[in-house]
Amino acid sequence: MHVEKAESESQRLSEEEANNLVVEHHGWAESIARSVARAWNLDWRLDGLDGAAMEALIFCSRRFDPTRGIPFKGYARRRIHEASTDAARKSKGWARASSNRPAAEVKARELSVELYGVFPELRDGQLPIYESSGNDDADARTAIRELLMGASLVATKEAIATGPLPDELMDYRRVVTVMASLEPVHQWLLYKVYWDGTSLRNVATEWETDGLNVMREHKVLMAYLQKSLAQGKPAPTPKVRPGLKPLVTKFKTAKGKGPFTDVLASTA
Amino acid sequence: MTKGKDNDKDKKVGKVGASDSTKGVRSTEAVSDIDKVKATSAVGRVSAVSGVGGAGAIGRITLDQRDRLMSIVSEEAAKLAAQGVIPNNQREIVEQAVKMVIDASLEESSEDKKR
Repeated sequence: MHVEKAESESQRLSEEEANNLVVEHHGWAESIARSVARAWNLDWRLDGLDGAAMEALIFCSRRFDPTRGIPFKGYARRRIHEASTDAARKSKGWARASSNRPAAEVKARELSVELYGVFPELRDGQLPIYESSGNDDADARTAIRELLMGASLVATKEAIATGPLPDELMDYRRVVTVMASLEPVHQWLLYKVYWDGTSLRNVATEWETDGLNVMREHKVLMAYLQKSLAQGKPAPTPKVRPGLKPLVTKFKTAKGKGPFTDVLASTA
Repeated sequence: MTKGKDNDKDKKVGKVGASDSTKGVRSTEAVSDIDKVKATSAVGRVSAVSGVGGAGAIGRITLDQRDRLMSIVSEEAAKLAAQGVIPNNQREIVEQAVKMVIDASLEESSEDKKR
């Protein structure tokens, strides 16, 4: 145990090497903080995003293990981005904007924060593209459509939780009805992602299955949702792919008809 | 004394065995025919990267793609709202949220170029 610990510590950089990493990457870390501030109309210095990004950079430089074969930027970006967004949400600028900006903008900002839980690859500076079709433009369009639909589902969840206005209730019931028509395992997939804010990769880990199984199934479910909502009634429900079949029995027996069937019953 | 003479005889070096003769060295084989190097066939031209091109297989997004990405968000939000996929009362918030989340994720490519 002690030997293992000593070995893992010896893989880290010396203080001088770590300091060099900080010097080399501080401009890059600041650029991440600037991006976050720009998106949310904050001042990256006055609102403390620069300090948060720098702290995260120093932290990462101390923990970085070059023998793992991951480039430093790949290792540190998500943490620096997370530190910047956390600092943004705690800033005076954020609080001020919450009281004097239009309500839609305030809601949009809160919603955008939630999207990072569902699509964590955005923190790495990447769109949620799990498999490339070879056409970058089409892939970007598909990913953006997925982000929009994802944001809509998260907004639906929020609205149901806070009690929607009567004229909005019909829209939300329509969405939930479509999801409630799905197999329980499919319902759980969507529920975990959009209601619980778990990323697809984490769902795959939790279900002890290959990530691609979950990602491909999610893509099929989004296409089903789009088709069903566009035609105003549930489309033929997708079959469960072989890789997820072992979960079908588990969810059917252990967790009833599915979470959206329950949500639908509660909003009746 | 006689015994001593016998001892001397014993110390005589015995017959030295002949060293093994070197086995025949195989002659080198003639180099077989070398195929002619075939001419490189024409490499198809790399097609121009369109719009958001450069995002790459992993969907990397940089600041210089910002305007294009924002306009795709607006176009797709309009389509989804028109189809009824996004409720109309949500459209503005959803569109703005996605723009914010993309904007906050963009990498400043100029910073990369400096290095």
